[in-house]
Amino acid sequence: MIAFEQVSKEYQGGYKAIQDVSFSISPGEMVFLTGHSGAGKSTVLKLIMLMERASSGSIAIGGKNLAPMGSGDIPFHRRQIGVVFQNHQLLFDRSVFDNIVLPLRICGYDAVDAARRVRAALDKVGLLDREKLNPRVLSTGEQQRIGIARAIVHKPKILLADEPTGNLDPQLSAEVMTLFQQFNRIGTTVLVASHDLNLIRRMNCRTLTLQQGRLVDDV
Amino acid sequence: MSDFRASSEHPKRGAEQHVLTKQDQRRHWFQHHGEVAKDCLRQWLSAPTATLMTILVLAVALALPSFLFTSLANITRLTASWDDENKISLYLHTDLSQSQIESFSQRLLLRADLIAVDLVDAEQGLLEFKQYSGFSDVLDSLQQNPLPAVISVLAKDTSEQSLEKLQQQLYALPQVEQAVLDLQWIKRLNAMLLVLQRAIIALSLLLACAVLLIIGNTIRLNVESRRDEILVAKLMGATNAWVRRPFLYTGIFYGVTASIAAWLIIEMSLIVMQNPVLQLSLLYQSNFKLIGLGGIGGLLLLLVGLSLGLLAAFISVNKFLNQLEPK
Repeated sequence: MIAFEQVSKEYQGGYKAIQDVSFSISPGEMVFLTGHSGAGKSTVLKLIMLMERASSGSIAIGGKNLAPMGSGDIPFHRRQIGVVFQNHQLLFDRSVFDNIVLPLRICGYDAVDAARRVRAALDKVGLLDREKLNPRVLSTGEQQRIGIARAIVHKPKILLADEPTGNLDPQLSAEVMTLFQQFNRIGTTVLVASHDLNLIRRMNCRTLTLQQGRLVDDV
Repeated sequence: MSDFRASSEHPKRGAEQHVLTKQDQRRHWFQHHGEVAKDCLRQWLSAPTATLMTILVLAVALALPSFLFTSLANITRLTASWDDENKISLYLHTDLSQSQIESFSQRLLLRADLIAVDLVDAEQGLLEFKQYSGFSDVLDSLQQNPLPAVISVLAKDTSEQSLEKLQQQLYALPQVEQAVLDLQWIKRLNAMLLVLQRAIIALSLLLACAVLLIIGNTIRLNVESRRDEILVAKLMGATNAWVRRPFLYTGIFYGVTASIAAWLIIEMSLIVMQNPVLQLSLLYQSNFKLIGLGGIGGLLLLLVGLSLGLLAAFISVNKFLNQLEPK
C-alpha cells in the first residue's frame, strides 16, 4: 500500500531530512514510525501526502508511483488518505458537524448521505452529542477525536497520524490508539508517527525507527 | 500485519466509497456552486459598509471611462451629420455685378466634375449672417455690404487629391477670390476626436488596471483570512477549482455590482445634462439629443466589470495556490 524505495529528501540549503529510506507497508497493516524530533517522521508523512516531493528514489501509494503525478492528480491522490494532525487543524469558524463534513463536500457526496456519514463518524469517536458545538469549546482530547472523525469520515484507504497523542495524557492517548486499532481492523492501513515509545511498545505493532533521516530499525 | 485477512475481505467496500457517478458529480457541482454563491452573499452582508465602499470606488473607476466614451459617441454623432466633406466654398470678387455672378454660377453648373452648385449672393449672405451672428446692429451701421457672394459646390470625386486639384482649378478662375475646401477643418476636427479617443482608451486601460488591483487586493485579503480553511481543504484533496470557486464568485459579484452602479451614475449624469444640452441645441436650431450607454453599451460595461472581477480573483487565488504546490 505504501512503498518507499531509497527515498531521499533534501531541502533548499542542503538540509537532508531523510536519506535512502526504503520500506513497504502492506494493505491493512498498522505501523508506527518513531524517532527523535527532527529524525524525518513528518517528512515521510508529507511525502506520502504529496505535500513534498522526493529529491530521489521512488514512492508508490496503492501501487501508483507519485513522481509523475501533476497538480491535477494530487487532489485525487489525497482523497484516499485521511490525516490526523498533532494540533488537529480544526476550523474554529464553524461547528463540529461542518468541520467533519468538509472532506465529504470536497469529494462530492450528496448532502443527505454526507450528514449520515458524519453522524456515523461522530458516533465512532463517541462525540455524537457535540455535533452542533464549536470545536473551540471542546477539551483537547475531544478536539483530537473530532480531528480523527474528520480524517476517517470518507473511509480512506490509508490513515496517517502525525503525533496524534502529543498533547494528550496517557489515558486519552490510549483511547486514541484504540480508535486507530478499530479502523485498522476494518481494513484501513494505518501509519502513526509518534515518539511516545511506551505507548508504541504497548501497542505491539510493527515499528519503523528513523534516526537522523535514516531508517535504522524495522521490527 | 495481523489484519491481512481482514483487509482482503474489505477492499470492495473501500472502492465503493471513492466512486461517484458522473451524474452525482454534476449534481454536486451545481450544489456546490449554489452553496458558494449563498456563502458569498452572506459574507458580503456581514460587512455591508466595507463592501459598499469598495463597490463605490470600483463604480467610479468604471463610470469615468464609460462616461467619456458616451460623450465621445455623442460628439461623433453630432459631427457625422456634417456630410460636406466634398464641399468647396468659392468666395467671389466683390466687384462682380449680379448678372456676372449668375452667369458664372450657371457656367459652373455645366462642369462635369461638380454635382451641385449653390449660389448665396451677398444680400442673402448678409441676411443670414445678421440672423445667426447677433451682430445685426453693427452690420446695419455699415454703409456697404462687406460680404462677398459665395458659391458652394459639391465635387463629384471625393478623394482628397482630386478635391485639392479641383480647388486649385477653381481658385485659378478670375471671378474667384478664394476657394476654401471645407474638408480641412472637418479633417482637423476628426483628427482631434481621434486623439481624444486614444486618450480615453489609454485612460480606460489605466482605470481597468485600477479595478483589477482593487478587486485583486480585496480577494487577496479574503484569501489570507481563510488561509487555514484552504490549507486543510487542500490536504483533504480539494481541487484548485474547488478552492478557487468562492473567490471567483466574490470577484464576479464585485465586478457586476460595480458595473451596475457605474451604469446608474452615467445614466443619472446624462439625465442631469439632458435639459441644458437640449436648450443649447435649440439655440443652434438643432434637434440634437444626448444618447446614453444604451443596451449594448450597458451590456459591454457589465461584461467588462464581470471579466475584470473574474480575472482579478483568478490571479489572486492562483498566486496563493501556487505556493501550496509540492516542491
